[in-house]
Amino acid sequence: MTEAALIAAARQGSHRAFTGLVSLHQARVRGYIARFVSERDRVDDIAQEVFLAAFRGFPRFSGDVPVEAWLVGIARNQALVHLRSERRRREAVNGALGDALTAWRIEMLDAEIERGEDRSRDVDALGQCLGTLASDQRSLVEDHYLRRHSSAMLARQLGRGEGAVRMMLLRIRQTLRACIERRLRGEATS
Amino acid sequence: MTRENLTEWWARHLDGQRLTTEDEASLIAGLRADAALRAALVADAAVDGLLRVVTAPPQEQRAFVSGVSAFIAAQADGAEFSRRVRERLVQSRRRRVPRRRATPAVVHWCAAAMLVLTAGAVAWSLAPRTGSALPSVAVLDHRSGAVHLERTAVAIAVLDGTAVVAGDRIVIGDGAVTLRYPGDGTAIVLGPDTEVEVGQSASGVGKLLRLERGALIADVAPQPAGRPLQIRTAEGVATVVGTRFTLERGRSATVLAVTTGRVRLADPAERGILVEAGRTARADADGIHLVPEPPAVPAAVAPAIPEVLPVAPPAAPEPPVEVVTADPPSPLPPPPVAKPAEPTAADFLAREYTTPAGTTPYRLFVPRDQVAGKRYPLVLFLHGSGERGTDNAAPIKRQAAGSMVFISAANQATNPCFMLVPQCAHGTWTDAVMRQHIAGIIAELRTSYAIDAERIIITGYSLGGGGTWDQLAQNPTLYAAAVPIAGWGMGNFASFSSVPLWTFHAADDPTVKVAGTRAAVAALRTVGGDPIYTEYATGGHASGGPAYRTPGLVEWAMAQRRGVPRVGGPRLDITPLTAAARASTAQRIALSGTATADAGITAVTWTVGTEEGACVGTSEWSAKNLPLLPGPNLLRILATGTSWSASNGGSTSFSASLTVNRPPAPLKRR
Repeated sequence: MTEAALIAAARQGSHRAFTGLVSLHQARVRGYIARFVSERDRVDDIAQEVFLAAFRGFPRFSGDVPVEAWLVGIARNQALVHLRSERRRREAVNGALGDALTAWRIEMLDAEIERGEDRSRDVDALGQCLGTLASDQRSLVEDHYLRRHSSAMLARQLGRGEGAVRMMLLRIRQTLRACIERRLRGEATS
Repeated sequence: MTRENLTEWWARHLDGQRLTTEDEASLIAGLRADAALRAALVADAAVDGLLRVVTAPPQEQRAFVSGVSAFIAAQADGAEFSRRVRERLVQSRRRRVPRRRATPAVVHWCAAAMLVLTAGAVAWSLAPRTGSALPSVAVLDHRSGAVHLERTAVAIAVLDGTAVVAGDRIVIGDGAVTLRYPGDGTAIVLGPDTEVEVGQSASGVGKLLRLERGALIADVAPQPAGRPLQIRTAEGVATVVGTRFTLERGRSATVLAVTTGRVRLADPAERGILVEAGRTARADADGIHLVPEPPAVPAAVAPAIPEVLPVAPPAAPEPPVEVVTADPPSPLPPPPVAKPAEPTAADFLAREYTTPAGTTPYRLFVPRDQVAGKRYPLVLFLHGSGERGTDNAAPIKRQAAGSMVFISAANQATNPCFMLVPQCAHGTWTDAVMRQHIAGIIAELRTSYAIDAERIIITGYSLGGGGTWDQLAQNPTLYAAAVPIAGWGMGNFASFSSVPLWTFHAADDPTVKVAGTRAAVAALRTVGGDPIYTEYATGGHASGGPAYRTPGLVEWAMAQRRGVPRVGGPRLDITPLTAAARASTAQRIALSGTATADAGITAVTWTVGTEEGACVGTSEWSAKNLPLLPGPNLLRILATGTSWSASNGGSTSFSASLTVNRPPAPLKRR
């Protein structure tokens, strides 16, 4: 079934078709939210809210924008709602830095909205950028993010200090960020 | 305070490390002052978050889609549900108390229940408002629609904050309510048309609920050791230490879907399985079984969406959903250099087994696409001395000495099996704690996975080869087959001589001398065992690779069954003796038979006691004039053939034996 057919079936109220749309778009929606939310579980909770809101609102989905853009619009609103409620929570568990980071994230999101940027493609761009990493960088990323090896564990494996491993990871993220920006700009101008 | 300091503190924070109050204050102040660095580091947090999602394993993505699917199914069913609930309420008003008959397995969530679940982190008030002589165990809040309590046959209307005591029955009509345990924040959302009895904690059980019908979504905080939360139904018991899941009691089945963590689901006789995050299990009259996993998501072909909560008899059945996309997003792109499609560490779960004696990390491969009710072999691999430690990574590097051939796509397609790779922290596999932990891990896995106890296969390399021999001696009846490689053979060989065994060693091994394997093979053959022995002429200690690549080895191992003489592989058969031959008192006997192997057999010889000789022929062989002494005689026929390794050379020997009891010569009558 193509996406268009899924959309048509979902409009008729087929929840299975809608679930098909969820599996098609979950990576982008979750990726978009993960840019603003540190806790893995919260990312999925918010993404779930996005899809439930989308399902409830689907009969009103006009179809004049792609489903993905519509979902990202909902995700953006949910991310803002989440960040604002985080900021309101006085005794945030994250402490002062967590509070400050929340405020700066709102700043970043507001700026993106103002500039009219669609950052939902970051997740695709990152996927492509990972493929350009050198193999040792790539395996460090996989060990840390996929296998969840801590910096301490990686430091032991590599015979380096923990601080050095953290800086290696930071540099890899900087490389990836530059790559993502390049790709997004390239897409925008082409 | 330099940008370097700030960046380093930032990296520590993002890594989950605690900063000192001073460092944290300096970081905040520094970033407030430096807008460019601030923007860069906030963007760094965004990439960090993206990486966590992009690299998430497929099962996490599947769990997410299943979770959303369950809620959406509920939503889709909402209208029909409301109609039925209204009908039911009309009937129950006539009877004052709602009927308690089991309703069809179509109970789903209304929107209110979903909102309650997703608001799980929101702070809530503890203060119970309803007084009671019994101590309250929980509080009800986030009520919507028709909810009431039955306490000693009196119906009590439920308001937000109503306290619940042991023995209460919560009855939900067209509504939903959250049962909260103030002690630890555990929240259980009870869905529409649901009936739950709150039980009294007993020894070995903490929080206790009985789900009579309907469905619930539980978000369980970590529970104290030895006092898990239990939710019972007529079909099963879900035991939870801390996790998130849904449980539904339908007409004749209970369905459990686990979102995070693990839940044990057992039948009333306590036979059960551990259900992992992303999996769904069902308890019904046939027992407990896992619902097969949905295929990978996202994929070019659409996921068969699991009916996590079974749907009401559908008005019009929907065709299966198929998705075709031109450019399916993949969780990780292929690396720049193409790798052979070998299993990787990512295919294993990383686990730990802990007793007061210590912790043993282990890796577990779970076969995909299991069929409910079917059981699968377990391959246990013991690593060599260089992989000792606690990183839970070294043992499965370099294809686990080659043993990951058992979980290669090719073998999984024909012989799906589990693979267990424990890590020996220090010392050897023969240390008491390792023996105890291996037995403990196998026992634990057998309760939680569909493992075929008749097909547990043990293999190991180097230190683990020795560990394999030791395991056989320790547990002579546990294993279906054994493949020790380059290990030092030891133990009471007579105790496990009947276990099918294929062992490998190189004659020039400088690390573990071949003498140990030769002695073990000779000892086994002396006590009536028929091991297969491949001895390479060269190759040193690196015999794992060629050994695990031996054609037919994996199939041979998978074909064995506990307590059953070995089948398949290189084998030698002796044609059974006739009754006349067995009764003969002659001092010489003739034997014949066959020898089978994938490649040529070069020689067949016989051994009786200290005498030996050559047989005539190979694949069909015969021998005359084997000497017999009065009493039992062990006759052994040994075939020798290729080692299957062109580069290492050497040979494989395999044998069969026969005990012939020569009757004493009749006494001459005078």
